[in-house]
Amino acid sequence: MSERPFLEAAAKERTSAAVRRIEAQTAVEVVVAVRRRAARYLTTSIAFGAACAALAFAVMWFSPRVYDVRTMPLDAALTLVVGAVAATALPGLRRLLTPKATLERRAQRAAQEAFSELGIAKTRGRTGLLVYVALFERAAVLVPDSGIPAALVTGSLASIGRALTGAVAALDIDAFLAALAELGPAAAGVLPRRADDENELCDDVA
Amino acid sequence: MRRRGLKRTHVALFVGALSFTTAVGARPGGGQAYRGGSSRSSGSSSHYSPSSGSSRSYGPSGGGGDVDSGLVLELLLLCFRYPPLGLLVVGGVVGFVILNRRRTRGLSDWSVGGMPARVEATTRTTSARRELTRLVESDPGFSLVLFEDFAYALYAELEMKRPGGELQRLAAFLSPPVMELLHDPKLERVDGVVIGAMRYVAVDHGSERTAVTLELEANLSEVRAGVVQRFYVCDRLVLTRARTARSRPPGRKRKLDCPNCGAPLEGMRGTTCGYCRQEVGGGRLDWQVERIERLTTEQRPPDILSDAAESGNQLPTLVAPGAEQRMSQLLARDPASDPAALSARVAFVFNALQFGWSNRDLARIRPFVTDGLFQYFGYWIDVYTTVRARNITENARILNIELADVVADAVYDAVTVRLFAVSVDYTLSDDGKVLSGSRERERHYSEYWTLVRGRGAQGRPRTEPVCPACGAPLDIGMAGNCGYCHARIVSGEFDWVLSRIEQDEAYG
Repeated sequence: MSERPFLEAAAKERTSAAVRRIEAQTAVEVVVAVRRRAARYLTTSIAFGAACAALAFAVMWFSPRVYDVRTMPLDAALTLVVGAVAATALPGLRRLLTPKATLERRAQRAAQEAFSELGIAKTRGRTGLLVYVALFERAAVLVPDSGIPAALVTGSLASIGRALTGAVAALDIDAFLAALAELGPAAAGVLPRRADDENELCDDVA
Repeated sequence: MRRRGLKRTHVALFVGALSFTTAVGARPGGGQAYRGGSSRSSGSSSHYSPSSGSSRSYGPSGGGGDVDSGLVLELLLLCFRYPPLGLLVVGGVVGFVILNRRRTRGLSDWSVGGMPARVEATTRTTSARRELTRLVESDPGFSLVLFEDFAYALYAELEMKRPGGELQRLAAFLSPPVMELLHDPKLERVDGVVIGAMRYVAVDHGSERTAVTLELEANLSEVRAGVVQRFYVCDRLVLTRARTARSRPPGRKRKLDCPNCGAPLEGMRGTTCGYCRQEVGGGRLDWQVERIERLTTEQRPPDILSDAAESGNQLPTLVAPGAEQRMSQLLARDPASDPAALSARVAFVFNALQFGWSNRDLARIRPFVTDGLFQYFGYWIDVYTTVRARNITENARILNIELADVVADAVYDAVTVRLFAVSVDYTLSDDGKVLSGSRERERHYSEYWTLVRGRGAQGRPRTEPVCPACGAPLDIGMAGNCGYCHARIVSGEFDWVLSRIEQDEAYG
């Protein structure tokens, strides 16, 4: 499985088209943000490096081979660096070592920050909706603005959010776009597009 | 399939590299075998137990026997001793890096929608504000700057006059339904009205009347049954005026008095002036508040100790359509007020404000701000003084200034810029205790500053502390008059003065 389908130009164009179709039906302004990762997880890398260092030290200590005790600490430090670099360079390893709850929490926090950075709140009726995709975390987070009715948020949006997360976890761009398209009919029932609706958040790829 | 194979290769390379030391250390015909097996037999002096750690240290001065430096160090040494191995390891690492970069080339984060870094503001606010300036077609003396000063003053007065029967004094400016709505017999007092922002919602140029819908955000204190409560409110006002009405001259615009003769409002009898005996209500001669609606009320005490994070810094700068063009027109009229000179003036005012604010010294602020903004600073400095604290900004410096809007009318030029700055920001009690903020951590922030200057004024904006009218050293009274020539310098008639400060999330 590869993250490439989510990052290629075709994915951007298809998403842009999907957003336009959604906004043709509803007053909700949808913004989709795809990020390779929500956070760096340096702690995971350093923790792995430390574990490697501890293991290396133990191996040297208990091994029948003779190791110079003056260089053992240096070697352990080097092992820490090598381990940390390896964990940083190998995303799969880093993801394996990071607790799922941490991944979810980081994705949520990054989504909230992106909501502010992307200016989602700058709509007349506060009807912005951010779909934040964090590929490393295998998560999709929906962040609705205050003008979107709570019933929609806890009802349809919640189930669509789960479908989006499932698609991202499987790295299935087609399933992701299919779930995204569900936003149109779901939101149209509660916030239909009005005749005087303006596209306040542009739908071009940035 | 190919990519999975590559990934497996990456992992294998890494695992293989780590395990090399053991393999080579135990290589057939390796050093320890050459030196004989006695160094490896149990019970010999070369076999150490963990409890005798110190005796592990052989060092160069130790007696014979092989001593490894460490797992990774041995690998590194072997890479030098056996170049093909070294090349393999280096090649593996370099290959991994190159393959990884190729795999991720052209793949970057993206988003569909959201705001670009700088947007031409086509929001309703800028459009409505621009629409209001069309009033000059029928009222050549109309000034947006003076209108906004008037709106600020009127709003503050109508809030403060709500208790008792004092609203009657504003009958010339309030419609009867509004007076009835605002009247609150249980309210004892309203004070400390601080207006945080004003937004234009809509402007309608009707055939007989012009209607302007505004939203104002303010903090104010209400006293009921002796209890003081502070509120954050957002009110929507609809101001209307007959198309035949004409704007007040600049000197009168800031005062709320009889729209006809300028007499004090204490002389009002209903909507009839006790001095000129004219009927002055109904928006016939001046703006009246035709409707008012409270949108939000939150109870929020004067919050001077919270350490709330700056928000809105990352929002794009809202630039009004045609701002650059109007700036060019301003420069054509007054080449000395070029962007560099204006920026220098902004920086000069900025530094004066930082000093005055940090030292609770209103006199340092007075020469550079209009009356309305001076009230704002005065109120908050008063709050800090009351709680025996002061908010200090240190090492404050401007990082960038971006043009947001230029408005020119018969009376004033107004330039709005977005100012990006950084400073250390903390609140210190009078006995030296840090109450909030940090003395070490710098805080980035941005705000929209509007500076105004009279149309008649020309010349390079000043960056020295002198009176712009007479050139004497700056000595400005609280009324804004020079102590030497008595000219009123805070109205913008002589030099650019700061008229509004709006936070990112409130602007536009």
